[in-house]
Amino acid sequence: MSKSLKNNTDEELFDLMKSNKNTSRLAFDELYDRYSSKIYSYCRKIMNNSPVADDIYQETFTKFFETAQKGKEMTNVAGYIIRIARNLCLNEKAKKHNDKVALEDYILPSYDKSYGTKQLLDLLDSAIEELPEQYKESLVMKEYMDMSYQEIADNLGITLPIVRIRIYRAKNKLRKVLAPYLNELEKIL
Amino acid sequence: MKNQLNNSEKIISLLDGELNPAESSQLYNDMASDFELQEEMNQQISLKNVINKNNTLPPSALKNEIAQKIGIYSEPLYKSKYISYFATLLFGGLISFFTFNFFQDNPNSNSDIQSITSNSKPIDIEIITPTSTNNNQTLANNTQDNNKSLSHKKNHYPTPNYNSTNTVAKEDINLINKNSYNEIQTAEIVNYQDLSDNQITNSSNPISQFTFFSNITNHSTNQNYKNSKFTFIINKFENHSITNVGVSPIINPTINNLSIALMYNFNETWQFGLEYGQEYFNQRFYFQENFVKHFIDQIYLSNWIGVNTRYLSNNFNTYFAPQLFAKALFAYSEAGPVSKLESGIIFNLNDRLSFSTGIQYSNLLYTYKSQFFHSNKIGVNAGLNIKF
Repeated sequence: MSKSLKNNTDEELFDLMKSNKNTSRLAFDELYDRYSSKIYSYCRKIMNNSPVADDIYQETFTKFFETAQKGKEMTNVAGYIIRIARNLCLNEKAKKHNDKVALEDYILPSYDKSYGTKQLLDLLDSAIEELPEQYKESLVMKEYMDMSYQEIADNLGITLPIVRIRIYRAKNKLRKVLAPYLNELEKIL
Repeated sequence: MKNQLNNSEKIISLLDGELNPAESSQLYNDMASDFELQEEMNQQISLKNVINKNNTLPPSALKNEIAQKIGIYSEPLYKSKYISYFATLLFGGLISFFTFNFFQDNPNSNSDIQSITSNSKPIDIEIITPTSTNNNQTLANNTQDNNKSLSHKKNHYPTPNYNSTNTVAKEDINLINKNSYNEIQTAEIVNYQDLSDNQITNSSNPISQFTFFSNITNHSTNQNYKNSKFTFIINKFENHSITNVGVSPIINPTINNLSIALMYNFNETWQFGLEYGQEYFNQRFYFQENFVKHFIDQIYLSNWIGVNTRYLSNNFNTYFAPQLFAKALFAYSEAGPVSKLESGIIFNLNDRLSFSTGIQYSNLLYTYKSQFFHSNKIGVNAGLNIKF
């Protein structure tokens, strides 16, 4: 009985979220499937704090759904979701700028990677974490959210050359830090 | 130097799909004669692969939480936290029905013995009731306890309703006596014929005479209950952590927070046993590094095994009459020692089956970065107790 909404555009799905419960659930499901991994990656990488990142991730989709229910018009759904997540992350960072937590500490005890592998993964996470916020954000949007330079520029409200240079600097820093471990990392991932 | 920087930038743009064909051709030309640039290209490819593979997918539980928050999903029945309680009760009920004679005999039939019909000569039944030691006389039982001297007052009663076809087995009669819950303490058959091939015949279908909890009152003696040496317990906890970490477990907690215990019934009031369980403990680590204060929140799924003891108050000798109990457990998990204190009530459903519920306090002691932490929980506990 339930029809597939895979061929609908983001904006059509957003409109469908304003309809009855069944349809809005299907539309939300589809949009969630399209953007959940990107938003989750963004929250985790930007916050470096798994519990808070999870909260922000949940709140992002909650706010997104509530906006649709209010009947607002939307022309760039992807950009809107990212903007919600970004604002929430910025707010959280402003609140907790003193509480710095390493990402690796959030791995549950049941984590079954070997010790060496975990160290390498920690190294990668730490290297990304140590990047300046502006570089990190551009890098995360490019690599984890698969956005083009132009989309990043639009979302961050900066020019294309600035995006290019930020990503370049971010990757160059990572390359220098991780150069001795890149072969090992490639093998384990 | 400027050219090198530009080429480095071009490598990244090329790998990101942001370099136009003309710039790409220029880059390849430059790389052909520049080993360092080739090496840089290889490293950037490796880095991009590593970053892309280190992606994290959101846990599926988060989707359900979001959906519940915005009110578009109802929790599936099988994930409901109440379903495990229901399943425990259902499981216990089925075991009782099929194994432990949960349904007792109908009190309207006056006596279990009357339900046996036969058509031949009567059997004498010796009724033995306890009395004070001053009036004792020794009776050598002529059934199973032949070599056991007891202090009893011996009375003989006529047994008009308890006849035999000369085919009643001694074992069968004893079995009937064990299931009898009237005021008579013990009935011993003193004159019976040995077993032949025929069987006892009941006057009607025994199932039709069963009624639910027929012996709620007037349950003065229950040999099976007293003779049970062990108790098997299935427990389900619903605890709330005193440490609020704001993290949700990845695995559905409904199927966790369970324990099983095997208790030795030392006497009517003390039990000792082993218990295995698993449950969630919230963890919050505080530490300071490089003058920066850190804290980490986690939810830890603890598998623990340990010893416990339970003290039960006096039995009131009636079904459903509550017994108070207190319990202490000391266990070990991978993270550290677990201790529990519990107090509650046991409701005896029949001679073998009981339902317990109580308030439970749990504590997990653990270390992180050479510091001790503890996680405390308080909540309710429901258990099914099976004696055997």
